[in-house]
Amino acid sequence: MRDELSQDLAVLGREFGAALRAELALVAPGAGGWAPVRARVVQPVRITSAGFRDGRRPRWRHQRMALVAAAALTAAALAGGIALASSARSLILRPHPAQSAPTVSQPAQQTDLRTAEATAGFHILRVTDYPRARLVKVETLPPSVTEQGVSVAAPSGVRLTYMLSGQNVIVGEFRSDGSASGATVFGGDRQGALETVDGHQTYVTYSDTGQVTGMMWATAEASVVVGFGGPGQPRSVAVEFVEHLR
Amino acid sequence: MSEQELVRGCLAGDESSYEELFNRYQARALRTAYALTGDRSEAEDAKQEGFVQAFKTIHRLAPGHEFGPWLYRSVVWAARNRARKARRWREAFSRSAAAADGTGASGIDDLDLRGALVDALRGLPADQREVLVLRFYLDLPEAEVAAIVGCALGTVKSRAARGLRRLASSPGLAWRRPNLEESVHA
Repeated sequence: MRDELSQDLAVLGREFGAALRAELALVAPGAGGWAPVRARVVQPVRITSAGFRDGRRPRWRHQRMALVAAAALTAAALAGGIALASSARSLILRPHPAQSAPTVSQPAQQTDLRTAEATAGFHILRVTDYPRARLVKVETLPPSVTEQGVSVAAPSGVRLTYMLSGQNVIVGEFRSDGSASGATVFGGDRQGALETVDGHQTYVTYSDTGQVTGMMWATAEASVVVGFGGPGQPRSVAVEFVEHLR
Repeated sequence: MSEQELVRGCLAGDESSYEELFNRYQARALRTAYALTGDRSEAEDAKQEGFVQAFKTIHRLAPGHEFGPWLYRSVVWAARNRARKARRWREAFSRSAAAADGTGASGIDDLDLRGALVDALRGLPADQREVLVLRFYLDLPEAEVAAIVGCALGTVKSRAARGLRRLASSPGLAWRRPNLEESVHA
């Protein structure tokens, strides 16, 4: 072949490489080379008000977050409509007796799980399929204040935000009266629904028909139970698991 | 920690994984850039650009593939860009430093030959220089070189052949190997 190297040229190539290596061995990187690269690649990571890590992310993470955000808006609108139309509405939106008066809302405060448990008196069970389901954020809902300035139970609840495996974000709010004030799944590949299981309002998510991936509810004893079974587990397993926890 | 673990660490946002990969590859990246640009400051810039680009796009590195060729591709592109801007090939290698080094590599202990080879490198077109540096300095397979410089495998072979012929025709090498040019199949 015309462009194949002769044996002499191949030898010359090897000698050239060796000579170059010997020459370049004298070229040593200076100190502090990592700092300018780090500044352009690794940015400080912080927890944003939305609970997600911020900073530079690979492109696929940007795309995934954009998809989640778009799905979240759609799901929130759908969930709102479903909640209003649902027969479970009275259960979902059941007001705390002390909160029947119009209230002034205050921003939720982000906290850690233990603090939330300690101050709210909730008993929160961790997700069972960590790290596929990841607790992203725990917030204590602020004390509700009536128009007369009377503070009621403080704090009035806990809001948990989980990111499930895949692209789903599940947000559950639990009031101190034990009612589930709302639970919304954000994401495109699962259907979630509020169901009554043994008299308890339960939020159930499905990966496929009949395959439970998550259940969460608040009992009358103001205990929050959050349990996630692995995808593909039959619903009965999840029900048994949650029954066991109770 | 294996390189694959470090790549996975980078994908997970672990800063120490980035730094470890940087430390493992920075010397070779700098020397490659130096061989391509012939200028220390240009080489430092090309190295930095190469790392930044390689890290920013590391999520596109196919699972199981090595980080090195991924980085070298970025370094080559960065060096090309810098060379395009500079349009110059500066005095590259320090003869005095080479003489002070005094050590041979792989049996190449003849400073005249080493100097002649390096001198000849300066006179090569950039595309041939890239192929020779990647193929014979980094010891990368021809297919890897083709992927890095963005050309066909046959083009790598022809560039290597042409580059080596030019090296062979340089005065220093002609003196060293009087029959070399006659042995080229061209």
